[in-house]
Amino acid sequence: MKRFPRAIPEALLGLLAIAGSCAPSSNVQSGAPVLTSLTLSDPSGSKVTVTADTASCPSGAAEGKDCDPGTSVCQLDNVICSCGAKDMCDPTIKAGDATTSGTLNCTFAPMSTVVATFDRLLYTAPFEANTQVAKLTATPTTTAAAATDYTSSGATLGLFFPDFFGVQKGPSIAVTGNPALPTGSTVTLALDTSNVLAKDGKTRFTGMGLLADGIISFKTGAFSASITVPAPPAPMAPPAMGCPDAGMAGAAGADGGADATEADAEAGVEAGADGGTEAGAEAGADAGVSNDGGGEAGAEAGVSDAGGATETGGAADADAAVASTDVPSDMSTASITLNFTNPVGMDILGHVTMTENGAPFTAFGIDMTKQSFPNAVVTLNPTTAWAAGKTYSITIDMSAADVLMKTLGTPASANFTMSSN
Amino acid sequence: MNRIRGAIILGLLTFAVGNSAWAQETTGRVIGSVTDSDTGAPLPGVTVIVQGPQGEDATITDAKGQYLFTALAVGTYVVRYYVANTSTQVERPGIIVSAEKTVRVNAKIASTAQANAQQTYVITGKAPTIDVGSPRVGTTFDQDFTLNLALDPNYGAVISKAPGAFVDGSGNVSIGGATGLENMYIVNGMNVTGMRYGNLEAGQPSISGGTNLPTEFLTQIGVNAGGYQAEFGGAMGGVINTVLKSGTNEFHGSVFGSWAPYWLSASPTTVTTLGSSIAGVQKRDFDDRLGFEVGGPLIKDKLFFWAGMAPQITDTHVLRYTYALQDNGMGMPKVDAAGNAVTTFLPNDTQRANETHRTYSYAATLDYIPKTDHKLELTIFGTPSFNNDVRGGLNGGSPFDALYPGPTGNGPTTYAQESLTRTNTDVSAHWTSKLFDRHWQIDALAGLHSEYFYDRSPSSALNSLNQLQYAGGGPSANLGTQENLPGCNVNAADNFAPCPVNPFYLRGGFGEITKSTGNRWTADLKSMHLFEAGGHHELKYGWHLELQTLDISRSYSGPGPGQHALDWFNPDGTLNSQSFFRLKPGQSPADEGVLFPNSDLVDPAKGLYQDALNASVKSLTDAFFLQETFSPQGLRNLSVNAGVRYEFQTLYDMNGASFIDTRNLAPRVGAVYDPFNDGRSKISVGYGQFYEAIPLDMAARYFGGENFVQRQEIPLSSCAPTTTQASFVGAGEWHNCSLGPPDPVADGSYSKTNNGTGLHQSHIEGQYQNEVVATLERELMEDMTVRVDYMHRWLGRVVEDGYGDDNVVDVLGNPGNVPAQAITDAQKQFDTTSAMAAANPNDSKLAAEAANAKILLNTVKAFASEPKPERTYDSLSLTLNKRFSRNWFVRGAYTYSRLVGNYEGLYQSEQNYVAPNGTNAYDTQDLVVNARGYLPNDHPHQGKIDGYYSHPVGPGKLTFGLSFLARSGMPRNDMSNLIPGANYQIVFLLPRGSAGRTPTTTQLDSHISYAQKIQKGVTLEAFVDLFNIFDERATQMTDDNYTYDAVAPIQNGTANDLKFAKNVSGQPVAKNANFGRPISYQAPFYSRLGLRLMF
Repeated sequence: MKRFPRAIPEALLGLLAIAGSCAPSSNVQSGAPVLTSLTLSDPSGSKVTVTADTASCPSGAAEGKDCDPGTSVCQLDNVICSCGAKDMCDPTIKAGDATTSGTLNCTFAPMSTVVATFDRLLYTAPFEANTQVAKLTATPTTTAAAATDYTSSGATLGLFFPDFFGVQKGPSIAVTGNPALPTGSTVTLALDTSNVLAKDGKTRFTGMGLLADGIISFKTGAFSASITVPAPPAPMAPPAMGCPDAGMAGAAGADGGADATEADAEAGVEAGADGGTEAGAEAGADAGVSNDGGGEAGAEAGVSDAGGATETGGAADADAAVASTDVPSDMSTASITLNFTNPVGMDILGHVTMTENGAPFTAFGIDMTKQSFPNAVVTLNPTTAWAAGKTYSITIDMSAADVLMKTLGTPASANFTMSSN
Repeated sequence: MNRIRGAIILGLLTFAVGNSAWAQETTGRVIGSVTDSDTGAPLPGVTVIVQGPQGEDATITDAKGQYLFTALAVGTYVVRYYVANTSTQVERPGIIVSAEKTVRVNAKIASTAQANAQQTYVITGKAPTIDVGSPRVGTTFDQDFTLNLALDPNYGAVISKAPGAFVDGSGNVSIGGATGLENMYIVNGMNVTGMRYGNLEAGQPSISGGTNLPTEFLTQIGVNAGGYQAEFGGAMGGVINTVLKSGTNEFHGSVFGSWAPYWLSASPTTVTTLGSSIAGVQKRDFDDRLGFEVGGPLIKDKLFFWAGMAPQITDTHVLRYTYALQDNGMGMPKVDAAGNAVTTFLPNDTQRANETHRTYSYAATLDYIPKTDHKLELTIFGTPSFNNDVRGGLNGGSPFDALYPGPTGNGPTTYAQESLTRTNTDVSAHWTSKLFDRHWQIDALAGLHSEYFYDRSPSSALNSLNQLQYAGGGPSANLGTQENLPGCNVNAADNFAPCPVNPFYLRGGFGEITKSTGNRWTADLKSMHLFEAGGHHELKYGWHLELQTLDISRSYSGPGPGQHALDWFNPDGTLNSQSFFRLKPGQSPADEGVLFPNSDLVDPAKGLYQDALNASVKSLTDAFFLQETFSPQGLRNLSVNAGVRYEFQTLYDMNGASFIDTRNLAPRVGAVYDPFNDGRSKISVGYGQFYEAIPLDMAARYFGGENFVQRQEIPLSSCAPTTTQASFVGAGEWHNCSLGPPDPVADGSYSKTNNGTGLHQSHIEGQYQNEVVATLERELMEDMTVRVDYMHRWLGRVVEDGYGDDNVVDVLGNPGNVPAQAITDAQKQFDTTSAMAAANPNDSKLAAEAANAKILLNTVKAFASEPKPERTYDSLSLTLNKRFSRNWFVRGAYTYSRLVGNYEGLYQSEQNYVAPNGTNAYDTQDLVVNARGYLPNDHPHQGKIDGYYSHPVGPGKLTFGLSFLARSGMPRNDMSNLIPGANYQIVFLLPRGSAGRTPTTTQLDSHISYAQKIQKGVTLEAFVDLFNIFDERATQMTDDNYTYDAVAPIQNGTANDLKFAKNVSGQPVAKNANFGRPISYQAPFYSRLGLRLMF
């Protein structure tokens, strides 16, 4: 039989070898994981993100002062600040001067979480061993430690997940306090470089600029409380159109047209600007969030919390305690909600007192089948029902403390009257 | 339009001057040389005559002793050589001529023979069969193959016998790493490929498709897997070139019938789903065929006819089995130690729905040879098909849902059916002439391929009701609630639903009704010149035209104008109602809920709501090719091919505006070397670019105005007087529902799907792939060849749709390969329109244009940032081919291949999604992450052996055929959901292919027949076909949904990383209990009995 030139079969075998070598490689990119951002996220969903490009705040910047929202995040005296846009109707905005259109805020909700996002997956052994891969320090000092939670899902490319659902653009570690972050403090969270490693289990993460060491410092607001009591449904407010008269702007609930982030940022600014009004600021933040950033955030502040919202906070928050009107009788079993800026324990019930027409009232309690502790939101229900025609007052005393034993310092109270019909 | 008119004029003119010709070759060639056996010197002037099924053809050897016959009808020939000035005749019988192939038949004539008068010498050695004419990679199946092996009756099934080919999830055959929707199907030179999807009428039962004829009608089925030259295009998989039988000078024909009763078949494996109380299985009742085909001369050597008809009647039925979950006493299902729900089979609740399928295939040809070298062939064939299938579930591969019990919950079984009419009709005329002493051959073909499709309920009552969907798992989608089935009623004490249906229960009307008519007008002109200039030249050039039109109507069933919708109830008891809408000119998707209230979209009075989406779209394709094959003087056993194909495809939307206008330049080069110049060896290589012929589905959907709107979370209390789920019957109740407070602007109660906006990137370029092939073939011994084929294919560009903007509006483009000019254009358009809109703030039309421009710009930029499409295929095939002689035939092939990439093709297996150029691959950037890996059609090892042995037994002949198949499993994935609560299981949670592979499939089939002559020229054959003799039930597909939670991809992750995945709510991921469980199995053993009378 005639034979082919020797080289031809060998060439075909070579092609076979090439074909066999085309296995896809889907391994994690080798090298050090790069920390791409540190995001400070408060319970309302508001986010402040530090990236490698984040710089120091401009000279002269100070918390509560004007700033340019175009440079939304910066570092001031080693703590992170953000410049929240003022309401477009704010009369202090000067046309053509962007530096007057925002207010600098450096104080964040105590229940905030820091999310460190990386460009590639991390070594999972420390997480499998439940190792806490971050450290918490604070001024003043605290007994709180850092609690970490690793999330492997999240990718560098995306539309639906990052834009619509807020998923980080990469694997991430969420860091918060255990049992909570200290309130009224300057908190520093630092990733543990010996445990945040590349998939090889050896290579430490890297970062640029403020992300180089995986450390973030920020101030937390004071511990405070507010109370939501049953209230009659508020009438439908008309949509906010244009700017209201001067003098109405600036209130926490007047963030008409701003999205949730803006509303929350403004709330934070107010909290920082006036240490005694945190509860009111929180109420504003809640309003902004509960309305999904809709155009009627301010206008519907009183309606947005189910069952109505007659809220009171600290002593300086008297303006928030809108005079109660009679609550319809079909709300005789409606709940009272205690809102704290940091989690509290079960002992909180010992700091809550009620009166019925001025007389002590104890026929209320917590539905423990639905309530867990520690928790920043505590729901109280009447043992039977709120009596018709009676006025109830509820007070959280000043010694009520969060899980880190930080006390309110100022009592919070609210009242409501049931309709006699 | 000018191009259409120009093309038609050119076509008519070409016809007028007689230069017209056709597309795919349906004929073959014989070449050879005649030499003196003593001296080896070429013998010029030898008369060579070929005699075949339609008469004789003759030529004379040239000065080099070479000869060539072209345009020979497929069949077996005798070649005779007459030496000049003597009466010496040498003849060589048994020359097999196949379409598109060139066989070399050399003759050596001894000097004595030349001198010796009046002698006839017969060369008894077998003639070569190796195609030495082109580097094409492929396989040819002739009638002996289809008659002597156990095969399904239509040619679509035979294709999968080619090396490396297999039926993929689309039900069509994957060739060369492409999906089954990327082949081109040719019957007698006519493109009969499905116009809407690029498919064949096979597999997916509920869609239209190309013409799939019975094998009894065909004389040859050619599978061109790669390496085809410039005259062929429009396919990224394979080109399937089939040739109908034609009449000869003798009357021949057959009457055939087969019978496959249920008792000769095993029951299929039932697919069960944990957590659902329904399982279904389709069983065979019978599959009967009876047909005939006959052909012969009307005028000897001049006019021939052939005709055939083959009705096929198949009845099946679907059984729905019911299993009851058990109450653990706390309103939850009782589970076993493994955590799986404990169920009880309820035999009395089994329901049955019948299915009927009727197909009346027919074909006829008329061949007219007015004089030597001129031939006209007229062809007509079709496949009228009328089916009543159980809708949903079984054949589609999705979880089996309810049996459409109708408005009352217990309707007749016809309520479970869909009535499908699929009628394909093809007609063509083909003219061939050889002129100027056969140095010029021209071919002209004109034809029409027509597809009619209608899918609706056989019950007019169901066509007049809205379809109601009840969210799965709860009491409302419980069989007791809906159908009052014994043992399935909800436990009133703890609200436990023992017979939940997942993912939803259907009741009420039929749902989507589709009706379409498509026509493809084809014209081909081809010219071939043969001349000598430093060697032998074969110069070919030609033009191909296709004008395709598709008229399609899609509607939801419903009670009347303004009342058509799909309604489904959410788990919380609220209602979502979906209907069609179209924006008016000057409106943008970004305007919806901003410049006009969303409620306008569902209000018939506003002119946006649509009862039916009617669209007429079309496509015009021109292709020009030029190719040269050159065999140098003194090296005639080397052929070098070079060519180029220049294709234009323009697609037009429902308004007649073009949205794709591609200019595709596809080079092809190749070389074939016959090292021993004897036609018994071949070394060939080839390179080419192959562009896709874009099917019309994308035009019909995205450019046919496909927009949906859902009114979401409608409280039933607002639907007075129909305020409970149970009281809905699908009579348009949705239209009475109110969305509550009037807040029409920016109302989140509406969800829109803006597919049909017509937005597209500028400069969209054609989808193509590159290919390199190499072949080594050698005749090992007489009748037996061994062949090694290497193929390397890699994708160049795709045309796909996607979203890149928060408005989630569909845009068509070239993701991963956006031309720079397209970004510049989009930016310019945005700058211009936004400036104009800013200058005219009260002009809503300008505002809409600016909004659209922003969407386009964002999406084009997103496309540019996405990974390039990749689909890389490498294969090495070893084929042994022993043609039939000495009573036996065998063909065996082993293929090792790898298919890697991030883009499957025109079909997407994860959601069984048939959507050419509109798959989910690039829908959002979330989906491109982890998309790279082993693609679903990656089956590394494939082995096939087909053979038969015939032996005289008694007065007749016994034939025993065997077919064996072994194929690696398919890669499995870990999928998650894109949108919470929806069913977009299209996110690659881990890199593609990370979840392992399904098991290897093996199967043995057999054909046994006994044939006996009952009188001269008449043979009666009885046969039995046995499929899957060992009744193997390998898993074909598994549930790859790792979770139904919406979870972002774990980029480049592994199974270990799954532990740390969180859903979009930040909660740990809930694993799907059915993940990895089979959702389809290998078809069980079945058999059929048959008779065939041949004359």
